[in-house]
Amino acid sequence: MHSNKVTMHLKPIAAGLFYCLLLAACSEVKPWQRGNLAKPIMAADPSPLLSSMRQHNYASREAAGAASSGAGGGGCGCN
Amino acid sequence: MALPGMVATAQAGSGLLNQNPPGVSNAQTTTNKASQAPIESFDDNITESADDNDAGYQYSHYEESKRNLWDIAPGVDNNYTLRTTGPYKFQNNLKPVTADSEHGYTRFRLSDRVRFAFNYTQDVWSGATPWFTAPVGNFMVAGNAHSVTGASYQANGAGSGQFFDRQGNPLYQAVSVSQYDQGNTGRPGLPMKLAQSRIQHVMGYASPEMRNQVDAKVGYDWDNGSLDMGGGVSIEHDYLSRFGNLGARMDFNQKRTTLNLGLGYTNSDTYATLNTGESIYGGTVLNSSVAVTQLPTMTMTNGTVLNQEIIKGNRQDGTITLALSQVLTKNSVLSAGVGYTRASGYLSNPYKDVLAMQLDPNWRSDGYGPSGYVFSQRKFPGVQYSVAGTVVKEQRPNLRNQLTFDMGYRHYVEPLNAAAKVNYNFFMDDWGINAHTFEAEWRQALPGHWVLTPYARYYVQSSAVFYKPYVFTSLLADQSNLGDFSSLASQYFSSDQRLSSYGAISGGVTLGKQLTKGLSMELGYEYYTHKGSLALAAGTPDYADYQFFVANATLRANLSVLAQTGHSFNDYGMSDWLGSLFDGKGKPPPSGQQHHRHGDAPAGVMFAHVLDKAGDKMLGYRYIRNTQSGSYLAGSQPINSNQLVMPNSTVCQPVTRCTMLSTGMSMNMHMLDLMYAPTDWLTLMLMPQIMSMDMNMVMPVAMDMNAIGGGMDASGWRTYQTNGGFGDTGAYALLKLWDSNGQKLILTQGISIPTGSINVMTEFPGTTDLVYSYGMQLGSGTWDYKPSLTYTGKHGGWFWGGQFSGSHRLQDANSSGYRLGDVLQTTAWGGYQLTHWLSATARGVYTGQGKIVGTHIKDQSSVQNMWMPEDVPANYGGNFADVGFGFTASVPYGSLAGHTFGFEWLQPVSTYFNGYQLDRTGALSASWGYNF
Repeated sequence: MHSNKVTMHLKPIAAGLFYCLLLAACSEVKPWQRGNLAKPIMAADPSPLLSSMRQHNYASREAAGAASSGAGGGGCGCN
Repeated sequence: MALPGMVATAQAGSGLLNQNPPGVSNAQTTTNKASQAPIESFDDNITESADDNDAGYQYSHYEESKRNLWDIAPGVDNNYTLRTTGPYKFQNNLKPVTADSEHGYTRFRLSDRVRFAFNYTQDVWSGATPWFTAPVGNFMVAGNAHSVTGASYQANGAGSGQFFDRQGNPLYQAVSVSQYDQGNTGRPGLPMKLAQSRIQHVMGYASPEMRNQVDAKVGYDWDNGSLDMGGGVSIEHDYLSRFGNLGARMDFNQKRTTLNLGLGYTNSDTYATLNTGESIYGGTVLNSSVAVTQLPTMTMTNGTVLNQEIIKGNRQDGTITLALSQVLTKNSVLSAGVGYTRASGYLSNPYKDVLAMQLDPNWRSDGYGPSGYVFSQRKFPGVQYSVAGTVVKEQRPNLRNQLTFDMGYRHYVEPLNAAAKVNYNFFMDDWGINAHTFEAEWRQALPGHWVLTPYARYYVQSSAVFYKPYVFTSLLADQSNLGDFSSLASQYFSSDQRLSSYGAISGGVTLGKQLTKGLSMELGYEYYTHKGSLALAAGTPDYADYQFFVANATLRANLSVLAQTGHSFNDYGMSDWLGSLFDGKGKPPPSGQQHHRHGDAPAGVMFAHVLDKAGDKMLGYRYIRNTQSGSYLAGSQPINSNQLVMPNSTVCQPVTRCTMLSTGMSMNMHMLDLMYAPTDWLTLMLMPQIMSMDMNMVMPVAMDMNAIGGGMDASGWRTYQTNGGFGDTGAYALLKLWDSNGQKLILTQGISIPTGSINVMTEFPGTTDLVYSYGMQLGSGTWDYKPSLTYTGKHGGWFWGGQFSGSHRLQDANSSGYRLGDVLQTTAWGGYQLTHWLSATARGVYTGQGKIVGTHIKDQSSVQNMWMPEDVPANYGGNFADVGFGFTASVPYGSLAGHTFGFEWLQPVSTYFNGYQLDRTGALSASWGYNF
């Protein structure tokens, strides 16, 4: 019973989030409102050399690394 | 109309799965434009072309801690030797793994919509890595310094005579075998006492190995999307990997939503040479599906059989990723992605072995107890005893399906001008591994164009179902299968710690600084700790725990922004510049804004350029490649290399004759020029350098191994040496003595700081470690004085110059007991300005260098290398004459204005070596410089 209630409450939220993600209708962020998002520190990958090196280090020392680093390919440079 | 911000936000997803090699990623925004200019003023085209003409260079150093080894209390080891003194200390004097990596990239726009990116990576690594895992009791024999930790370890027979409890945990006898009840013999004694033992890694040492990777990517942009196609190759001596990938980006909802689709394919070949019958890498290949090629065996006169095998394997990896990023508010972006990777083929590591032991279930009564003692009178319920053991190659399944899921969120914290970023990644595969990664990062912008970024990461994984520290088989009741491990051939097992259950916490900080418009640097440090106890469920015991740190330094230059600095902006792209080179027309440069750097010395000449006035700065990069190949010269005469290995040869004295010969050598030097003029007449220069070298060797088949006194163990035969890393660092003061009428006289006073390693070793089973030959070390090991005097002049289209330079070692010997010979060099050149941007040069060079003084410490007490002419100090140095031809291009206008590129080829015309060396085949110099 109790868990059903929780589910009932969560459903609209989940649906809202889903809708929001799909249609991006939750907030209209106009192009001229994206100054903050354009800042270098907000870039998805502001230091690509550094992140590639870190990915390579993790990938050669962790079981999950190779797949998580995507399709970069290449050898290990390690044993 | 697109705003610069969209470049960042719209492509947020592309970085999520890190499918783009760095520099290829189009997710970057320029450091300058977004933060320093009003957004409204940007025009689409300008943004794009300014964004994508950049270059970067990163150097990083990775270093692991030593692995855990345990002491054993006094008692008895499983070799039945009483150790009354204790605790017994294991030696752990193997150098842990270190790796030096460099990574350079450049990318530029070929047109408004077409991007091109190129990456080059080189890793050089060496040190001790886990070879297999075994009970501690096996390793009570005092240590051999090099190839195996704490043990003179033989693969055959390893692991027999071990006790285990019911769960397979190792036990050892805490009292002497002569002291306990000897069963049927009826002699009185103490009860046999078994105590818990431990397991630990057995380490193998690897000589320096090198990996080179090049990859490139072409991208095409639409207004609401892009398509990228890339590929590359990664080359190691024992591993070749080629890969290609395809990426598509689509923007929706006025670029609030971005979808990224990625496809990747990798095809990799393993080609691993194994030395059988020797301790290192000696595991037996059980599974017949693994392609093993037996090299022809060589029988030495002393009966030693050189027996080498090659494991060949191929694997293919296919990946598909889908990522979505969504602008939630004006301060936040959410991203999510899924990925699937299928790996098939030879997925094992040819250098990882597993200890296999055969347990006798009836050991208490059938006479297979230690040393023939029968334990029937004493019951040890559950105790198992191994009657045979060996080391076998690990065997992984030949298929692996992997799924990943990530989520990321980043938020701009307006009051603090900072960005907070969190990421979660879930991974699962059909090997039984589930892994979670949690990452958090805080990018704090600080006044003065600094950015400080602390970050933390927690990674945790469960173990693969076939992860086992060691494996068991069972002895049949009739004992017919004693020592037969073929039943393991169809099973999967690996003792690679990377497949075990553990957790890892790491954290670090990076500090970025924008040095000037378009030029930024970043320093980073990260510490990583791998622990079994950090696992979510039962972790692997602490024998596999280790730590590492990584330090890195990065320099990035936005070539277009640099070109704009101090010059009026014009938006000519790379294509305009290239066009102007080939059709000679191009767009006319704005008058008075053309760059004139006529009269540059050839690319191979250093210290010929000083800065004009106080406050000027220059950034430059130089690359020099030297090669030697062909036949050996004795002085200046080519000789038949067989002479060097003849029994009466004295070249490699005190060794009776040379054992190995070089067939080719190459040395690459990457130098960074950092110049600054504190006054008009003085320029200070700092020049760090990164080195890498490669030598191919042969052992003449006719070699009589016995003739060199048994010093050479045939299975240590390696046909190459590679090395690389940080070299010596130069610090120079350039004084403009005279500057008049186009003529200059420059005096340089310099010091070379011995930052390059001179103790690089090679793996050599069966004896102590050997040092690499003198020419394969990364530095001189001494503080050196480097003066030079340079004269340059120009008139009309002609320019000329001359230089005396030298290197004098300021110490009698370096820490390894020798010093390189002094160098004296004279050069003179002339050149002509062919067009306003291109000049050609010709020059002559004479170089004299003394032989090496002293002998490496390792060779002073007993000869430990000197098997090659390259190991003999007296063979170094000589007198050389070369002619050089080169050209220099100075970009006069367009988005790369102010940059100078130079190339020069030096061709040997006369060579006289002090002793025996491989003939010189020339040197290539390339340089890039930018004044600002």
